[in-house]
Amino acid sequence: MTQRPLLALGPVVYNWEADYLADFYRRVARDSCFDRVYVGESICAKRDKWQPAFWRGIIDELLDHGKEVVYSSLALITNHHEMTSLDSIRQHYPSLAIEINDLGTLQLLEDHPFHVGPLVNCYNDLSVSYLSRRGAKSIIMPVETPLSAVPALRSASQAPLGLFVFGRMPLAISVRCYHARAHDLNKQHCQIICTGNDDGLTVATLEGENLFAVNGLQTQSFRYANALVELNELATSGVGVLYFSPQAAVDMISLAHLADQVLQQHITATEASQRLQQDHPNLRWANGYLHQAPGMTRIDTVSL
Amino acid sequence: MTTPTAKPLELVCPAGTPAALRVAVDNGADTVYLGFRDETNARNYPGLNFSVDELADAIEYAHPRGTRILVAINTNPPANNSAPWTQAVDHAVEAGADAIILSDIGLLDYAANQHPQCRLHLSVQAFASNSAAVKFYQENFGVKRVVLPRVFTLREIARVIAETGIEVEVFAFAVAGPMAEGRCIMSSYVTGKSPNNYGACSPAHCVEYIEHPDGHLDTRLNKVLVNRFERDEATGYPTLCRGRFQVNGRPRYLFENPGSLNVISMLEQLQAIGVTAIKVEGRQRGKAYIRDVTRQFRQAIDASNNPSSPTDWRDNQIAGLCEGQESTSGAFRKHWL
Repeated sequence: MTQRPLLALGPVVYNWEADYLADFYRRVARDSCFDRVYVGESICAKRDKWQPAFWRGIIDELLDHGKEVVYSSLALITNHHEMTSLDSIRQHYPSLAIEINDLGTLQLLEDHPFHVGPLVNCYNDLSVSYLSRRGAKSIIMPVETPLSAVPALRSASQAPLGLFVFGRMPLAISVRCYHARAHDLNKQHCQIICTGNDDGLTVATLEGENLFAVNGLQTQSFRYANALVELNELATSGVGVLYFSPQAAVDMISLAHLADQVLQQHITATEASQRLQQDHPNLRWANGYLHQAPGMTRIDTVSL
Repeated sequence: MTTPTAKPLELVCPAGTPAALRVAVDNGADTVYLGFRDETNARNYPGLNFSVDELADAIEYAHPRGTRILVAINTNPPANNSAPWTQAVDHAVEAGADAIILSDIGLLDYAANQHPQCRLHLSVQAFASNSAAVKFYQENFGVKRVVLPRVFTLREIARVIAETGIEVEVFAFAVAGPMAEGRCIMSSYVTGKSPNNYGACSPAHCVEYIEHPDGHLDTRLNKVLVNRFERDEATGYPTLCRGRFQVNGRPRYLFENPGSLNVISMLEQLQAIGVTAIKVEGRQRGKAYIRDVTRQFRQAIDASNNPSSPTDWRDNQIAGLCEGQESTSGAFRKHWL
C-alpha cells in the first residue's frame, strides 16, 4: 500500500488583485483538500502582494485550518533589495519553511528550513542528492522531468520528490518584463500592467497558433500541464508531492477534490480527466514532458 | 580611468574547432574555452567542438605559448543519465585543463569532491545573478571564478567583487539573449530537446525553411511558425526567443530586438572595478571572426593599459561582426530593461 502523495498548491504566480487573492486562499483554507499551500510572490518584486504584511492574515488562516504552509521566494534576484525580501517574514514566522527558487536564497537562509521549488535547476540524481543532503524538506523537480526518471531520482534523495502536475508551465524567466514590453512599456515604468491577466497574456504565432503566455518576467506555456491521467502512476512510482500551480480558469478547490478522489480509488483517473475536460472545453492540456515528448504535446496514455 | 594597481583584463576567447583554437592562440587570447563534441556543453552543434584527443592536442599547442585552456561542461545532466557528464569532468581534469566551467549543482558537487585540485569556474548557464548566489557556489564548491550574467550594472559588479573576492568574468562581445541563461526551456516545449540537457536551442533536425511562390519565407521549429520574412527581409535562424509573435493581434519581436553586446568602449571601467576577465562569445563562429575579434580586443586591452595610446579609435571597429548588426551594452546600462 503506497502512501497517498501530498496535494500541494504552488504559489499564485500571477498578479491577482488582493481581494481576489485573499478570497481564494480563504476557500483553500476552509474548503480544499490541499495538504500543503505555498504562498508569497515568486515572480516580480514590484507587485503589491509582495508585501509581507499582506500574507500574514492568509498564513494564519491556512495554519488554523491545519494546512502546511510554505513561503515561496523570488525566482530571480538581481539586487540587494530583493535579497532582503525574506527578512520580515522570517522574523514573524521563525519556523515557516521557505520555497527556494534561486540558489542565492539557499545561501541567505543558512539553517532555515527550505523546500526546493520547480524553478531551481535540479535536474538529476547528483543534484537531488546534493540538495537532499543540504536538508531540503522536499524537492519539486523541474517541469521537464519524465515519469520514467522518478525511481532513480527518488533513490538518490532522502527528501520527498514532487512533480508539477497542473497549470501553465514555467518556460523562462528574464530580467526584462515582456508583459510591459507587450504594452510598449519598460520594467521600470511598467504601471504593474500584468494585473488583470489572471492566467497570463497569450502569445500566438504569426499564423494564430496560441503558444506561450507571458506573466511579467516569466514566460509560460499556453497549454496547461495536466497529469490527472497519470496520477496513479505518479503515486506508485514514489512521487511524494503533487504540485498544482494555481490558475484562474480552473476551480482549484474542485480540482484538488478530483485528484483526491482518484488517489483514494473512488473514481478512475480517466473519469477525472474527462470531467475536467467537460468542465473546461476551451482549455488546452499537455503532458508531453512526463513522457519525454515536446512539452506542448498531449499524449493519450489511456489508449496506450 | 585605469587605476595603477588593476591587472590588465584577461582575454577569454572561444574555439569551436582545433583550427579556431590555433587562430585564437596566435592572435593574442590569454585563455581559450572549448567544449567536448557532445551534449555536455551548451554549444552542441553539428561539426563543432573537441574530442578528448583534440583537447590534449589543444593543450599541447596552447600551454607552450602561454595560453590557458578552459573546458565548458555547462549543461545539466538529465534525470537519469549523469555518466557522460561525470566522465567529461574526469577527461578534462586528466587532460590537464586549466579549469572547467560548470553550471549544474550536482556536477559541481561531483567535481569538488572527486577532483579537489581542479580549478572550477561557474558558467553563465548557472545564472548567478546576485552576490548570495555567487557566495553559494564559492563556499560550497570552491568555485574560483564566476561568469556573470549580463544583468549586472557596473556598480553591482563592483559590489559582487567587494563582497566575495571572487574572480569575475563578464561578457565582452556576445549576442544579447533575452532570457536568463540556463533558465529557459522554450525550445524543449516545442521540440522535446531541452537546451539545458542537450546543449542547443532549436536543434537543426527540427528546423525548416519554407519558401513560398510569392517570395516570403517561413521558418518553423517542429512545425511551429517562428517567423515569416518578406522577400527582401534579412532572415534568421528560428530560435524561439528571437521569433516574431503576436500579442492581441499585433505582430512583433516580443522577446528580443535582434542585437548584440559589445563592451569594447568600457574596458577601462571594467578593469578599474576589478573585473578579472572578459569573455568573447562565438564557439560556433568561423576562423575569420575569431581572428578579427581576438585581435581587436587584444589591441584594445593593450591600448587601455598604455597611457600614451589614443582612445578614440576603439568604438565599433568590429561592430559589423555582431549578429544582427546593432550593438548594445546590455544591462550595463539600465535602459535595456
